Amino acid sequence: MPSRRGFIQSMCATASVFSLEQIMAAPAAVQFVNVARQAGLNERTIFGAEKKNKFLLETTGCGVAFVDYDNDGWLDIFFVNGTRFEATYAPGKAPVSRLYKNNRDGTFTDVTVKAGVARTGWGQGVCVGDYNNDGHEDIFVTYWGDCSLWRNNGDGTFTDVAAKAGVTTDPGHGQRRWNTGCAFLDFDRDGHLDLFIANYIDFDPKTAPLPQSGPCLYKGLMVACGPPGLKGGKNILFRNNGDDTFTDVSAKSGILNTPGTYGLGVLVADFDNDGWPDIYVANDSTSSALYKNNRDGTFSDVAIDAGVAYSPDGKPQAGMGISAADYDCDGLLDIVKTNFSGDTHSLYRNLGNMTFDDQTFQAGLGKNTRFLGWGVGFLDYDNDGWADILVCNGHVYPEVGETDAEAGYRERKILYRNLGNGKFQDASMDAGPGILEKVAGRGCAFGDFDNDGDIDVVVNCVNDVPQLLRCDNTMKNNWLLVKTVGTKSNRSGIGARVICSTGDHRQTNEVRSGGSYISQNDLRLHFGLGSSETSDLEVHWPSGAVDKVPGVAANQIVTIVEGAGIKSRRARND
Amino acid sequence: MRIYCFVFCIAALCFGQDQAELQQLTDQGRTMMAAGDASGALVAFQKALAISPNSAELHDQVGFLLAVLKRNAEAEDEFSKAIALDDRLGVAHYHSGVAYCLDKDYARCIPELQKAARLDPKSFTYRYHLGNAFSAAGRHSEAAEELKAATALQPRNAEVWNALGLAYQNANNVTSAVDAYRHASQLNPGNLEARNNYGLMLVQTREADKAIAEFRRVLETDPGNVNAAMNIGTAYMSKGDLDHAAAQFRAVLARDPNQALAHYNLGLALKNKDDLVNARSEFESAIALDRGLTEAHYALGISYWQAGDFDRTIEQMNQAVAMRPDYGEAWFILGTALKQKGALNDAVSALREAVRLRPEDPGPYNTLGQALRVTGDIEGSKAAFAQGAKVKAAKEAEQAGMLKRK
Repeated sequence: MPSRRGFIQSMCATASVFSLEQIMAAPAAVQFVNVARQAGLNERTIFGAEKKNKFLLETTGCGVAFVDYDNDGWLDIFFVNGTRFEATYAPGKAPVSRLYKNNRDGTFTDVTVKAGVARTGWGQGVCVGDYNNDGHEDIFVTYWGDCSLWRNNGDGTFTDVAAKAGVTTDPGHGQRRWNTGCAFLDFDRDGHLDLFIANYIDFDPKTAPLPQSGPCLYKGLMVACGPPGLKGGKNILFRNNGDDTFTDVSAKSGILNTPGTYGLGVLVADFDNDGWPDIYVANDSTSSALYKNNRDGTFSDVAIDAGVAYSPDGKPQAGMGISAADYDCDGLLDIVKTNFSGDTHSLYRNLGNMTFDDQTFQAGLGKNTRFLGWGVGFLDYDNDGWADILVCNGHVYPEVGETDAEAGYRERKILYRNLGNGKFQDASMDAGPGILEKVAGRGCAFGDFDNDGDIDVVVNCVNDVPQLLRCDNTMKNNWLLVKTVGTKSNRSGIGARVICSTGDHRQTNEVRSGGSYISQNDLRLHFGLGSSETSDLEVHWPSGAVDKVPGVAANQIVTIVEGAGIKSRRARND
Repeated sequence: MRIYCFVFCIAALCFGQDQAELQQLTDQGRTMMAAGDASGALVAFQKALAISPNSAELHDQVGFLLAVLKRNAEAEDEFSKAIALDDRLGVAHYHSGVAYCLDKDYARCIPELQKAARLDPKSFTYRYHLGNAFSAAGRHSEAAEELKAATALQPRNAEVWNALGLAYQNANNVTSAVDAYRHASQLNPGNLEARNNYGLMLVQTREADKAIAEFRRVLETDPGNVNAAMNIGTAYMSKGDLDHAAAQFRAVLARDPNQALAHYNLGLALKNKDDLVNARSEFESAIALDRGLTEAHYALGISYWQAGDFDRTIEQMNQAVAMRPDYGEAWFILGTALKQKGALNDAVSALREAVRLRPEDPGPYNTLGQALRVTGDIEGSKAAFAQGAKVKAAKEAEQAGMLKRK
């Protein structure tokens, strides 16, 4: 817990967004504090022109990943970076994606160059998974253009093996695909992680319409055009051949049966509890897609039938980020999705049998329409055993920054506290300065970077330094962090479903690659246990194996190996 | 022979006397008209007509005076006689047309005015009144054509530019309306109605700042001009500047708390700021002042909908559609809220109405599809979704066409 002086200093280091009364008021039990600067996360993400954008590509921003790349039990951070159309950079000065190693003391060290992951380009999303099952998490980064598959060499360095592995997305003829959200998943349950990549727009700056073409206007401001009116991209599914290479099975799998869409966020989860991972894609300005796994190598888009394609009144929405959790603890994974300003975010409650009910308004999420949401996550920020929601916001168009429009370009976050009865309460104003600080947020990732048992948030902001929102929790609730290691299943344990029971209270979640807005959360699963001192764990592995581990003591980080139970335990901050 | 000469001489003498009297009466009539004595003028011209009953001009003149005296039926009769005597007497067609227009008989008015305009296309008066007649009859594109011609004939006539602006506005030709109103305002800065209309068109063309400047000019001349004050708020709303919009509407209400529309607009500004509680209060105030303000019922219903109170949503939407049965958006939300409440049959009915009224919007089709699916009508559901997809595809094609790089 920071000192009061440190607390005020950290707030003063950021743009002043709150009154002295707010500063001096007694803090609530859980506060999010931006500690990015102290942590050493001071490099700006460069993404498009700062004041006016010609093309939509300049607006989408980048993802961010929490990843323990060196297997030391502490979350490191990977920031995707972008570039600018007209910029020229001196050698060594071009913006690059960055990898920060966790020093375990609240600070990070930039190891980008040492790790060999410095790449310049229009970086978009990031997802993590041990695709070659060598025990080291690999990183896939999407771009407008060819993507990077950073194979973790296990010695602190990475090698881009995208071409070698066959996961390039080059359509030829000098064209580029606009790849966005991604996720590793074992869709055929063969023990090897496959790869799904969403695509956004068929974009070529030489022919794309300029703002004055429409003209494309937003509240009277001339802005970048699209997506409506532009040709949508086609999502991609790569099957892992098990030999460090992949095969494009987009057509064979039925993924291409969904017409050109504007895909952004990717969320993998077993929505119908049949043991096979399904894929939900948040599409911008059109119906979202829910690819149901048919268990035979193919998928069917059932979003409309399932009730997760549209808003409650049947309208396509500008979907960006998505997250899944069992927010009502009924054993079924539900979905939250962020949308555009002037709209609400969406909360879809899973009813089973691949049907959902839009509970946005009933749950209390209908009251906020002025923010434009990007990254989102379910997180139990107060460790009471109920999944809360945090939304990272920021307007699309920097042009609104020049005006008094709506919530402005830089926007604060929204934190919804789960009341345990299907409803949420907006707890934003009491959740600390990190929530209230206004930024042009895009990708955000959730994870416990300081291993103190509560969930922190890292945010990749457009043309700005990032945020690292450390959760300072003074409540006495207990918690558990669970890391999974597959043996027959993929090594990362991605797709493993963990049920954490404390008495009658059952929490369900899955180890997941991708999610949020084109970002990657901590692969470890966090469970808030309330006052319970122990919990019973059940792990359903992608292989079909089930491990039961009863009586796990609270307030520790456990590693469960498939078929072998708990292999290691660590106390908090250890 | 002598008798014939005698008769001829007497006839010539009488004719000469008649002409002199005719002239005298005509002059007298004109003098009286100039003095505003329509009744006296009518008597004079009627006497003149008795002397020269086959004069189309005199019948027209008499008809005109009868119309001035609101003896429209007699006037129309005289005009008919004038036209029967001389179908090429443009002024008679004009007067006849105007008389019919005064009776709001546009079916007869317009053809007469059209004849007048064809006979004398360079007559500003004929073109102007024909344009106004088209406007009154709701034929706005034709109105714009005639009024445009009138502006060419009298380019410095502010009134006709204003009328042209209104015609374009009603014809949804916003760009041309802006131009016409701009002319009207520049030619007659004192025409506050034209300036207000100009500003509203600028709001529509997303030039909110220019619009605000125009509205402020109105207020400089007429500080109590409620329309201009409200329009400033509307302009701020259009550019998403909700704080200034709210302040503006509050200023209107400070002067006159009984402005229902100001309460409604303030409610909208607050709702868009997510201040639903205070927004509702304003909508309720608007309704209390004007129960027939259907938009306020709709907006109040939406604010309840956002809060998950479907019962109250349904109540408000029902009120809105009861007052305005063709309120497509209200039927849509009514149907959606009924669906969310589980009242599926009622939902389907309401959504079908929404589809009928708003066939260009994919939303109602999709929601109808969802509702039908839950009722078990899978084929109906598929059909609704399919139709929604078609409508969506058509919209996207239209958007793609607009975005072709210029």
